[in-house]
Amino acid sequence: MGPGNGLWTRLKNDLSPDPHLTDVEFIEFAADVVDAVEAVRLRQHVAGCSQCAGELSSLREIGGVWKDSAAYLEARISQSKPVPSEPKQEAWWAQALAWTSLAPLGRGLAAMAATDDTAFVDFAVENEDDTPVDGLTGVIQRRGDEYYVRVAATIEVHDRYRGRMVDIAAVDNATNQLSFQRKIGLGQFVLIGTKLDITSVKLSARLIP
Amino acid sequence: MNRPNFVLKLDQKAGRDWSAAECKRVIAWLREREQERLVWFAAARYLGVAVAKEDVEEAWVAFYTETLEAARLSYRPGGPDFVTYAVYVCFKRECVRRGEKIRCRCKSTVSLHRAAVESETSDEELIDAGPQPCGIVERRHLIEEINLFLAGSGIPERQKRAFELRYLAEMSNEEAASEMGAEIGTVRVWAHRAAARLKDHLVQKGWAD
Repeated sequence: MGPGNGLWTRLKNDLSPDPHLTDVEFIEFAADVVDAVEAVRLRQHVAGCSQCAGELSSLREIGGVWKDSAAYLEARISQSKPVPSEPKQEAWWAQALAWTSLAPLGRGLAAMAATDDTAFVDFAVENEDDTPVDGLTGVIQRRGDEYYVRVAATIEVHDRYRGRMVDIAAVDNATNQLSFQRKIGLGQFVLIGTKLDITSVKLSARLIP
Repeated sequence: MNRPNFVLKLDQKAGRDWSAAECKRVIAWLREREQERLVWFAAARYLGVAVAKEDVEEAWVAFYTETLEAARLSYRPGGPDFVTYAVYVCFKRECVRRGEKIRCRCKSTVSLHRAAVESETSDEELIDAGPQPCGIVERRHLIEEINLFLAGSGIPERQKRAFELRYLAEMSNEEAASEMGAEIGTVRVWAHRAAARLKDHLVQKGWAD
């Protein structure tokens, strides 16, 4: 008996010689922006695959609606606020109070960079009013020369924060210039970079409302 | 999809470092009819099945008024090109969030019987289609088997990470490439190599023929 779940199905599909269309292929094929060679391959697959043909057909159906109302949508965009070329207000991290130094991750960096050694630093996650969020904790981890960040919720508050995002900002201690900023979901380790110069960097995290 | 040269050149520096003129130029290009169609189809695909035209329209407008600017500010060179990052990573996240809200909004108005009539299945079949305890246990065993294999197989770290993002975190190639700061094609190859070795292992262990 097979695993009977999406993971196994995806694995088999990706390894098959004629895989189903990906999201990107569906979108670009439906919008007619794929190159000619790719279009031939996709067309051949769709011709012999009722599942992809069905999905493509419903996507094209809604594409037809766009053609009819393009002028209306154009007007709606014009009425919307213009796209700002620079952020209008000061970033939240410019006024953040709670900072965690990442210097402990940098100890003996040169010696450890080529190894699989790991190091951790925990940090707190705050609300908009600078109060700590109960039950949410962050950790930044170095694995060899790669840096990962993760925010986890305790079981008690897990459901309350399901689907929420945390904005993480790291700035240089001396210049207060932003080193990196990432928005991450709860529970996942996210790679934030490799070989970062983190010896003079501090980090702050805020729960996005 | 072909990108003009000036867009490709912009991919070599962070979105925050673009000048006002560069921002205007890339936005103007994205506002051309062909790209607008692409964003419309992306909204339709990522919002999920059976969404109303108005929902697609709202997401489409949001791309040009909010998502695009957010994508520019968080764009880092090294991973996917900017257009791929904006449409297939940032806009996808935005649409998935919106799609989830739309489904929650509609849930209370759709009865089990009505859903069964629409999909031409019986109520019993519809209940059977939901997640069953044995399926969940089986899936957990499969993931344990996969984790054991990944830990002890000697697969290179990057291939392992690409596999985890693609199959366990259920990211697309574009999202995984953005997380790892690598080219989409490279991430696809890494994940494929790990998946091929894992598939052989799972077949050997009797998970599937």
